[in-house]
Amino acid sequence: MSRDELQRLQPASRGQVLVLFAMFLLILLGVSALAIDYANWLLTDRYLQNVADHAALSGASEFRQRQTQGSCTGGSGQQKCVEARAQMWTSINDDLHLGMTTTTINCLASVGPTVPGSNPGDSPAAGETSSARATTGACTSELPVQFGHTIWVATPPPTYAAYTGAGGRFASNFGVTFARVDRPVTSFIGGALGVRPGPRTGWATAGALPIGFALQTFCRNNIAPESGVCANSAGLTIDGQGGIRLLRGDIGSNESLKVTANGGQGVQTHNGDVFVVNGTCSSSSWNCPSGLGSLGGISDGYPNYTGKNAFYMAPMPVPRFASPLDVASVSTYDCSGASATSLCIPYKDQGNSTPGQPGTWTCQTSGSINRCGAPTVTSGQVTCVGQGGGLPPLHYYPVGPSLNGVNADSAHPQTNANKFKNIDDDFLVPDPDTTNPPGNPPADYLYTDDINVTGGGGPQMTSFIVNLAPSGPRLPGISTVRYTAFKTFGGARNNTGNPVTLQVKLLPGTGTTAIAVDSVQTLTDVPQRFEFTVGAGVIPANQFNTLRLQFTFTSQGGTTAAEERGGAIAWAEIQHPDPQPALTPMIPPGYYRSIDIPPNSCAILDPTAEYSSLEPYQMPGIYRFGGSSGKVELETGSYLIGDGVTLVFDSDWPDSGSHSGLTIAADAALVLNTMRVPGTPPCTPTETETLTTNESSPLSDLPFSGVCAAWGIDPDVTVGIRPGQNAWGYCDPANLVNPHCVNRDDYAPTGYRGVTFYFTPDPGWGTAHASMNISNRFEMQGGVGGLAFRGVLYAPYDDVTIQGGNGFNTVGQVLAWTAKFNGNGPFIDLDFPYVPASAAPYLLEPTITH
Amino acid sequence: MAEFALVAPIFFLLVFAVIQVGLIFSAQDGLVDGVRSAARRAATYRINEASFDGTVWPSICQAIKDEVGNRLRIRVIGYQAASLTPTVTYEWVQDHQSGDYFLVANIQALYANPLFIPLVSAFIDRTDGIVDNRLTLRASEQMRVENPALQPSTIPPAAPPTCPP
Repeated sequence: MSRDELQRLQPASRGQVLVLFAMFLLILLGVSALAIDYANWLLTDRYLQNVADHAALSGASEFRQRQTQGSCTGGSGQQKCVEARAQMWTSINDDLHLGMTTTTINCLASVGPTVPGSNPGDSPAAGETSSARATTGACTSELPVQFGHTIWVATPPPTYAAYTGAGGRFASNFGVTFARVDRPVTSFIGGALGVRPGPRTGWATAGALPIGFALQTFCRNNIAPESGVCANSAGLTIDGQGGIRLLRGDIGSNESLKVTANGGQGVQTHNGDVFVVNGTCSSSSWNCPSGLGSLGGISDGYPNYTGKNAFYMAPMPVPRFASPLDVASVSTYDCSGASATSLCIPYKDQGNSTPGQPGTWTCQTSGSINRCGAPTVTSGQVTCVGQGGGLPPLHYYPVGPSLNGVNADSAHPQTNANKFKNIDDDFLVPDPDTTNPPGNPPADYLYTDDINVTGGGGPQMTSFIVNLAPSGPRLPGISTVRYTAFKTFGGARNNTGNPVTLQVKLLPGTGTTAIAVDSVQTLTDVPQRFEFTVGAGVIPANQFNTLRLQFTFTSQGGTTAAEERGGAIAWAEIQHPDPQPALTPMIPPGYYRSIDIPPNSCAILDPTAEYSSLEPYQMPGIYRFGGSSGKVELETGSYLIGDGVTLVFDSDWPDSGSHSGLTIAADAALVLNTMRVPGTPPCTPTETETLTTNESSPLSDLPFSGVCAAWGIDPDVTVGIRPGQNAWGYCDPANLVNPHCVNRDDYAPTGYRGVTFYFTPDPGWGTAHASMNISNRFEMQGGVGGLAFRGVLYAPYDDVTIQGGNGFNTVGQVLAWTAKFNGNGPFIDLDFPYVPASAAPYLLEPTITH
Repeated sequence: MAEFALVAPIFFLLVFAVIQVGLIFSAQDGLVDGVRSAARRAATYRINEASFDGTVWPSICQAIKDEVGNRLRIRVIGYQAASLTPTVTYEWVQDHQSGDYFLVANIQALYANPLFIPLVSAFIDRTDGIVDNRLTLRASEQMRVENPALQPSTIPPAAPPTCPP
């Protein structure tokens, strides 16, 4: 066969590749569509996302003053919301080149149909494809503009599917903006295959936040120190009927939220929001996230009670606050060894003036003397009124150790060179020097050098001045000065040599002009008790806290050195008439094991110890508690009040429980730093001090918070350990001319954030806390009392458990490992007043999924 | 027929190449978009200099890494979690005009895209230098974290710690 014939016999293969190509065309087109169309859609997604972000942020900038943002449906809040929507429309108009006029934009932002769950000015549920809505009502002047997109603009974010279907739910979070833009996309190649994509969507929510946490918990499963899970399996637990009312500020939790009682109250956010890291709202008992507060969810409080959402936040590290104990390295009973760099928190024990360890304090009631105060509550103010018998100890300090050669007797050497106590160093144990006639020999005394007479003729004298302990406010009346004196030779009793006389003058706080002068007494070797009276009204009313006694010893005659003699004082006091009203029991600052307030009694924590004085280099206002058997117990119906104080608890402080830890019995109340001590400069500019009793308000309507605690933390430091500062000046020896060392004017509250409770973490920071003993910090046992304080509750490695039915009001900040509110009482009020400054707008989503 | 035998390898190679490259492009598109989306999430995941604390920093890094995976799952066809290697870094960036320091999140993702189509895969596989029947795609995005800037300072702020791999 020829080649031609052979070719004819072959099947025609021309067009083979074309057929194959056609076979593969579908796949090729599909893959191309995937590559080209998909890229186009994603590009559109990003573009629309940017448009929505831009719009939401520009709207949120209207809500910088978040604390004052109210409802979008009335009042000043409504105008803000209208302006925010106008900002959003303006942004979208610019980005999408819609060409709307300002009039149209303003109309869109303020008019139109109200759909369920939204406000006038919000876009309808179906979105808007033109500005037709802006031609209704009074806005009829402009022609509608066709958008070419579907656009939603709303504030707060709506409840309809345009938002809830896309992302989350922030309904009724006033101050949160929502913008969504949909754009239909073409399918260049996929369309040939019948693929019809839905419109692409970009949406964003934005708001101004956060401004500060009124309550923050740090528990998280994967973060030290907790080796296992959170003790309550949630950072914040609301267990019982009483919910949380968040008046200002936010709640932040490194863990989840949980409500464990059926029908229990949730969180009512008035001006604040809830943030969590782990969105474990999956607990069936937590009506999360949009439930009404009355159903255990998050709501916006009166008057709407509509649901709100929780936001996500990044995990927050535990803020590290410096402790007062960092600078108070000395603890003895009398602050011996303390210095300006090693301040002191002295041991205190009511029954022992020289305790070797922290002791107890209680207001004792014995016989006809009732040393406890009577708590009274009138129109929200708690007052502790003295009932008599609470006389302050009459305590004397020489001005200086070397003044005019004043010496201690050898039997009672002083280890602290800064002061002498042996005019009478023990007021609680009966002292023979105080009796009449006094003991012979005296128990202890303070003596002068032998008076030098060799220098020339005439009487030679030496004198020293002692400050009288502050007695507090007294009514003018007849006061009596008593003292025990004798003649000495080289510090020992002696009745030979030159005669020595003594004259005592009562001096005011400054100057040498005497208020009263006793007659000259001639001394012998036998201690004698002398006294003189000061008439009613002679002592100026403002001098009762600064009185001084001047003892002047005079050598009468003689010029021989061997005949030189001196004098000594074994005891002295001044007695004023009982104050009216009676003094309230005042607890001085120091290091205690326990404080116990008997039933239906009260006492006041007195930061500057006006009624019992302070030691040199003692930190005023710092009440330290330690010991595994320690307790601060307020028994039934009792009150403990204090302003300008900080309670520092050692890390071995026990759990609250039966007669240990921090226990507030039924109808009892612990009220700290909510007002201020008498005579202090005001914490708030509007307060004026007119009260002589210590009143405290447990109410939450206090306008602002200064420090108002003894220990303050620098709030501007966010990294590392935040430095602290004592709000009171301490008593240094140079200040000793003022007998109570710390003047009430020494309070310096500016620039620092007060710490009311400081629960000391275990030593060290960071991972050293792995062995942290988590403790329960409060127990309250029902009734109408509770816990009210202003300032920071710092317990970042402890569970703050508020058990029982009492109220809990804080104006300040609670920092805890976990927080649990358990009881049937009324709302727990939280308020963070510190940052009135504006909050920048932020994008908010994503939200807690549900 | 003989001509087809000659043409077929090239033809199939071309067809397969179109298909494989199309798949790769779509994966690359999804990867880029997923990384951008994760970066936007990082921008709203408000951290600041206090977040550099060792107790929370690893979980912050992990949260953003998880976010990259979550975003890619719905964007990359046939997504395999094991093929993703996300890298999250933060750095301070100074504003040239105001001198403020901003925290910027830098999200980078390597995705070892599996190759399905015979013949061409052998060529494409080798373009990334590793013979594993996968092509490594990469994408990265930077976004500023939504947080107040640090005030201008002559001393730059301490650098954020490195995220654990």
